[in-house]
Amino acid sequence: MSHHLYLLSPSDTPLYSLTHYSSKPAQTTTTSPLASNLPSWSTSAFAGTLTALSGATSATQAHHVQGGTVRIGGGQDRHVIQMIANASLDVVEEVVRKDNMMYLKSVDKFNEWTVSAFVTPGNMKFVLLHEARNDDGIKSFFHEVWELYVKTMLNPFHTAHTPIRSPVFDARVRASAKKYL
Amino acid sequence: MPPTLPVSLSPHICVLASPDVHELFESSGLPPITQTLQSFVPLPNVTTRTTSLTSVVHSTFALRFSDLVDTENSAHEDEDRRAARTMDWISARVSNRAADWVRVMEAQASGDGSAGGKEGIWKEKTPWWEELRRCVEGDCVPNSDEGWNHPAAIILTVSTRAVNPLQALQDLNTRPVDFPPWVEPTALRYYLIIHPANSELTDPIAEALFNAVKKQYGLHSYLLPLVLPADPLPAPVPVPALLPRLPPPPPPSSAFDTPPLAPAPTPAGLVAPNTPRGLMSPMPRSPGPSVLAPGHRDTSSQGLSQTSPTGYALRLSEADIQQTGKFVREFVVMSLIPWMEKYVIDWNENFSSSRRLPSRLFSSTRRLFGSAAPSPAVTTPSTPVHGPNPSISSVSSRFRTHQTNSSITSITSVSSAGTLVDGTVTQQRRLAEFATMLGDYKLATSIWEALRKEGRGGSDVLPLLLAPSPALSLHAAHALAVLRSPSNPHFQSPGHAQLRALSYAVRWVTGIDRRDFLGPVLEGERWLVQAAGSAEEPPSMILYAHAAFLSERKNARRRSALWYLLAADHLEKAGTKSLAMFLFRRAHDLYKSQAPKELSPSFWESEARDPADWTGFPSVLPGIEHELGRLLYTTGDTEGAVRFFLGLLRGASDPSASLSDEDRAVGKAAVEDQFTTDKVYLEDFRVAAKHFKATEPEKWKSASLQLPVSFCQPKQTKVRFPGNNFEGDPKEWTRREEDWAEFWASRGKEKLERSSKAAVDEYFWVDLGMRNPLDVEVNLSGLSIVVREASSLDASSMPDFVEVEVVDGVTLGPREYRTIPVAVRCGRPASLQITHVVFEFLSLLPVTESLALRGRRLHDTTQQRQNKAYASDILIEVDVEDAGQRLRASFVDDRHLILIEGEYKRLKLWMTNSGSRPINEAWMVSGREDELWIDSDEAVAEETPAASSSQGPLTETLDSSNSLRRREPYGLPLGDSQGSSDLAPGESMQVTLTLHASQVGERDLGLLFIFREVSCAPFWCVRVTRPYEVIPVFRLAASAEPSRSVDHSYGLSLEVENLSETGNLRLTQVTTISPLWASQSDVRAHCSDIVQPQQITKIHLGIDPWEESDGVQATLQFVSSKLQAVLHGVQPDDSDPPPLRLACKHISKQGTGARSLAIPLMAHFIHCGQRTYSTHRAQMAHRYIPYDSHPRIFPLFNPYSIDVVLFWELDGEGRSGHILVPGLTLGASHAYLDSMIDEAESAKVKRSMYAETQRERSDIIRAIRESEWNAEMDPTVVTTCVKGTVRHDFSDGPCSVSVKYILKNLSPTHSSRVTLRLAAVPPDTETTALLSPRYAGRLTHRREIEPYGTAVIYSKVWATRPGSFRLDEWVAETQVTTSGRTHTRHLRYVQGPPLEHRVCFSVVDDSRS
Repeated sequence: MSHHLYLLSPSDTPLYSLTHYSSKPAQTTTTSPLASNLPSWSTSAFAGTLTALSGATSATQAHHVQGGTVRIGGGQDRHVIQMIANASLDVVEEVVRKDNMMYLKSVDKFNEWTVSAFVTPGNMKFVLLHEARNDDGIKSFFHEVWELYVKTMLNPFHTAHTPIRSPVFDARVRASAKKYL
Repeated sequence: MPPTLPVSLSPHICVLASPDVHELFESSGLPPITQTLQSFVPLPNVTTRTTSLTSVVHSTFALRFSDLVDTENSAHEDEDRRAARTMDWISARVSNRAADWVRVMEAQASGDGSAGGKEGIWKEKTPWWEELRRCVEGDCVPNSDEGWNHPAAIILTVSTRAVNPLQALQDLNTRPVDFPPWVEPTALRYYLIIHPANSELTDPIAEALFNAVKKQYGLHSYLLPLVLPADPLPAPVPVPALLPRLPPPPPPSSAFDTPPLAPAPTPAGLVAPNTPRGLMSPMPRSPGPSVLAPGHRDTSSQGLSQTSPTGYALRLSEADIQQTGKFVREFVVMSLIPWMEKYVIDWNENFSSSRRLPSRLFSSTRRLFGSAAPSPAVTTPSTPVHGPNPSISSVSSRFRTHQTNSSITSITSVSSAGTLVDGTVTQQRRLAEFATMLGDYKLATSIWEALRKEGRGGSDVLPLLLAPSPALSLHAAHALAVLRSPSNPHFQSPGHAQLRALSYAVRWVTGIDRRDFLGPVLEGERWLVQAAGSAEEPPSMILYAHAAFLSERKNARRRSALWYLLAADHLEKAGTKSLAMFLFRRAHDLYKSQAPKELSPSFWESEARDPADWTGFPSVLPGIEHELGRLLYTTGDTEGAVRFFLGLLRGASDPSASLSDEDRAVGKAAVEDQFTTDKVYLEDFRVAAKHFKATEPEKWKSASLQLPVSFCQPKQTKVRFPGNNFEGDPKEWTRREEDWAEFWASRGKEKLERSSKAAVDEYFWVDLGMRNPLDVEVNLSGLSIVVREASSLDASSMPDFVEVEVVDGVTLGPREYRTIPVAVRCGRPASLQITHVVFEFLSLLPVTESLALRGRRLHDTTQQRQNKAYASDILIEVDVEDAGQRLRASFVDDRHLILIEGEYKRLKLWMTNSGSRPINEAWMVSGREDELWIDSDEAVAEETPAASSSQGPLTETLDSSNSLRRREPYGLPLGDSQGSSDLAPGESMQVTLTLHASQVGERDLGLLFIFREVSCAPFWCVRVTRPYEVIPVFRLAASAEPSRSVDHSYGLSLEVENLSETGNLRLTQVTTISPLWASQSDVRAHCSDIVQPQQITKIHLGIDPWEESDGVQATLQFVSSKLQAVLHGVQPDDSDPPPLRLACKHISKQGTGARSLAIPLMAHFIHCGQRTYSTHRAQMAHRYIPYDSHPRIFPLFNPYSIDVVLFWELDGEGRSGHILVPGLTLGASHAYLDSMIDEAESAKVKRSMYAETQRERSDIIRAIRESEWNAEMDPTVVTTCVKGTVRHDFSDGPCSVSVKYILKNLSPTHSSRVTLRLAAVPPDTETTALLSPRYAGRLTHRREIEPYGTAVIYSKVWATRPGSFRLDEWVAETQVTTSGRTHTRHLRYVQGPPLEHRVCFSVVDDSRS
């Protein structure tokens, strides 16, 4: 179970990023035999919300979470993760234009990745890629990160363009991630 | 107007033709009959009727014709295998054409005019998607999942050219339809007789034949008269392109490489009798059109013309076209549609009757709400349109049930008895499909909904039929989820699921209006991605690509980029490289070109940033570019690949950011990731570049590749000259230069020339600061610099008189910084500019980096202030001149020195005049605390006898300047034995220095040599450094207290602890130095010989005033006047303190000669040591007085102080030294500055508005008040002397004991009046067990005591009985005579007996004994 957090400036430049490997067990660990045939990066995750409409009780959810193996640690695939985060900005912007919520839960999905976002009044976007649903935890996490970010912004030398390199910020975000994710 | 359904949802018509029909079409130069008929659909304006008898007008009505035999064969193939084959077939088609498509797309993208309007069609669609769509749509083989491809009608065709057409038709009719059991058997049988003009039968006979057929087989028959001219062929008529079809499966014999599942699972009982193939044309029929215009044939086989809608033509005369068209229309309108309508009505009745309860509910709701919503239970009169027809339930030899009864129940029984193996294509589904085909969408929707609720499909079709709503997305998702769920019978075959998903996606894209499909409600492009799901085959990837294409149209560029990237990634793996590359480029372009953001311009302006230099996510572009580079390399474009790989070598722009990026908890792995990406990029670059260089040397040369990172740090790059050896602390050197400047300022105006010039034919070094920005080890070869002459106009060429070193094989570790010196030598005087550094990156890529630094920011004009303007670049410049003034200095012995604290060390310096002119004057400047002595020959000669003279004086007098001023630079004696006073060019001389290692620790001996040719010439300098280490040997503690004895004024005790591990340290001599005090020399025996390691030796010395002391008062006055100036805020005058005479008392072991301090060397060392101590002390005490003015205020020696010098020797090694212990102050002083300070304090204070100033002033006053110069103490010391034990015979009466009180005045300057009161109880005396005697006689004694003077008072005490008595009942009051002081306060002191020195005596009664 990994989470990828990006803090994006209003110009969509990542100011801070974090990869968090959650120790919590994956919520659904139905490993489907199909999953073994498939590449690790892409398994269908779209069946989650469909039970209500489908009426098919026998349809097992094709929600393949592969035993919490760390799949995308970086290397060649890091750019795919970042592309997903980047692609979700299209939807985030669209949603923000429509209503002015700060916490946009599960705003976008791509294969196993669900994207949740948080848009501060200063148009900073916090984008989190996660696999399991955890709306409340993510909301609390975002609020903590927001508070930490506001504290960082109190620094007069910090602007909306400045990458956040404060080790204190980093440590606190990590602690928060550990707590909620 | 109903939506236009995709072609694949149209009725499938199978044609079974007799061999003569095939021959007929072949001989007439026509494609097979199915293809010919296909050219006549879709039909315009076809009207159908719904179950509620509403007319539906189809603007187009499509049909699909296929050959029954081919379809039968295909249907028998295993579905999974067929699916896999289809995927491969599509992949092959795509990959074959990809290169051409990409070419066209690129031409279009570049706006190539020559491409013309034809390629403009690709603005709204992509060729690969069109290809995929056609391939999927063209599939008409029945499958078990859905009934769309199950034949709706079978046309049995004969021609009148047959020998016996009636018999042929009979044969065809009786031929069993060889479909797998799950294929829906309900199909219309239609009988077609083709009557060509060249037939043997005449028209009436043909008519009669048709009537006979009609009579035998019913109304579903037709006579088609055709002319079919053979020669000349009529002009080709363009027809719509045929959809491509999967070629028939390879015969099993050759299919040894197919999967083991290959044999079709046909149950033994259902094995179809072998079709008499002999009846048919032996020629294998290719799926493509067999007869085409010759010009079209070649191009149609591949590429674009096939996809072009005008690519096909039919050579048929106008009349035949009319006839055939008429037939097709009649077939559809008169037979097929009525037949289907009939079935829809029948099955609907059946369907609604099976769900009575829901239907009643529905009808009641309708009644309740008055809804006109369609209900599946709409009861319509089941009147067949064409009346009862025996042949309506298509006679089939296999399905007897249909032949015998035409009742509806039989149909029910068929469907319920299992028309299907898997039960997917039920009658109900068939009903839904027919209703959909006929445009009865209300009915179709309700049935599809019912099917969906039962979990039997329908979700895939519903999105096509319903109005856009968010539910459609869920329908689509559900359809796909069902495909992949394990409950799907084809679950184990991902290929099948993929193919189905593919066909769903194609239907959705073609069947749903594009605006709706892309609208915000449906977001159809996401359906495509879902359909593609996890598959990696090219067809699924084309779904991704199409989704990306649609997203791009929707202006969701970032999402589009992601999908392009994924599509490209997998297409590349599948080998479709050209297409993959194109898609990668699209992703790259889309990612790079940001959509304009709605941000305030001041968002950028506030930080002076350019919106254009947006970077975005750090790993995205490298990821894409790396893929592109690899693709280019594998496709042979080495240059492009090298460029991409080179562009990747950026390193992390900022290591700390990448650090925060990485998870430190998982830290290491992540850091290694970063490490490996750089490593991979570098390795790829190395391989590609090597190949490029080897194979295309000319291109390599002209490519002019540029490294995106720079290694050289111009700011850190410096020029180093041989004399300017800047080892050690630069501040120290600056201090030495300042010392020199101060010293020389009073002597002349000549400046010390900065030695920023190199000499001709002498090496100087350019220290290049090189930093490896990459996370991987790199090597640079041929590292050198480009030098040009400043005056020369030709900037490119190196001057030939300059010789530059080339450094090879520099290996820099990941992110390593290193300074690499490059030696340069210039052959003649010139002004050189060092412009560039050159090297070969990885020994491959020549790199030139500029060493220019940007000039300063200009602020002179408004223009410059408002915009950024910089002065011209700064280049490193070196002036090379003739080596006129050169001195080379070095230590003869260059080893690391380890000295013992206080050791004398001889150092030899070798100095060479390496210049061309003689040197006349040379000076040496050392550090301020270094104790150095330049030995001249005489000094050495003088020292030796002094050391050896065993009877050296025990008392010496030293004259000290007493000044704290810094030592002046040493003038070096130049000249040689020949008497010349200068150092000629090439001559050398040796200078011997004695270093006294007074300071413990690691130290640098840095010497600045300053020299010049003649007077009035500027000075030059050269630096020499020698590090050394001093280890401590002794821990010394000295203390002094007023002596209780009459002999000495003070007792000084010295504790010496040997810290060293090695023994054999011998103390040879102890010397005291003081202006005022002298130690008594008769205690020499105390001076011990050897101090063992870790042992302590104590030395006690008696101190007495020195009679010959001189200058003490003058020194005090000097300090007082200077400090007064300070207190008044006036700059103290520049006068030096008066000189002072010092008494040196040597105490050495008897028999050894005392070491004299009077020799210049020792005097110098003592002076230096004392200066270091006093300077520190003054700096500690008087922080607010500028350090520079200390020498003008404070003297070197406090007159009251006494220093101890300890001489030691190391046995056997000839090492010796001394340690100075300064800082003991003896004697009473009397607050010398008190009046002055009071005056300053009580003076009218100029109030300052700054509290800081006030505080500083009070700090200055406090520091002076507490300083050693203002110390005061009680000068009187009272010593009580009494006989310890008195024997007395008490029978004689009380005992009288005489007591002597000795009063000493320790003040060297003031006399004092002392009043000693006896028998007065001092306030703090506690009572003890001792008795107190009774005093007799005078109890108050007054004395006036001279400086250093002594007074003795005798008194008596009475003891009335034996016992122990104490003598502590006295008080001494001292008043210092302040004749010279105009002071209101009298210095008065009161003291009682000291507690630690209690004086007692005992009286013993003698009378008893």
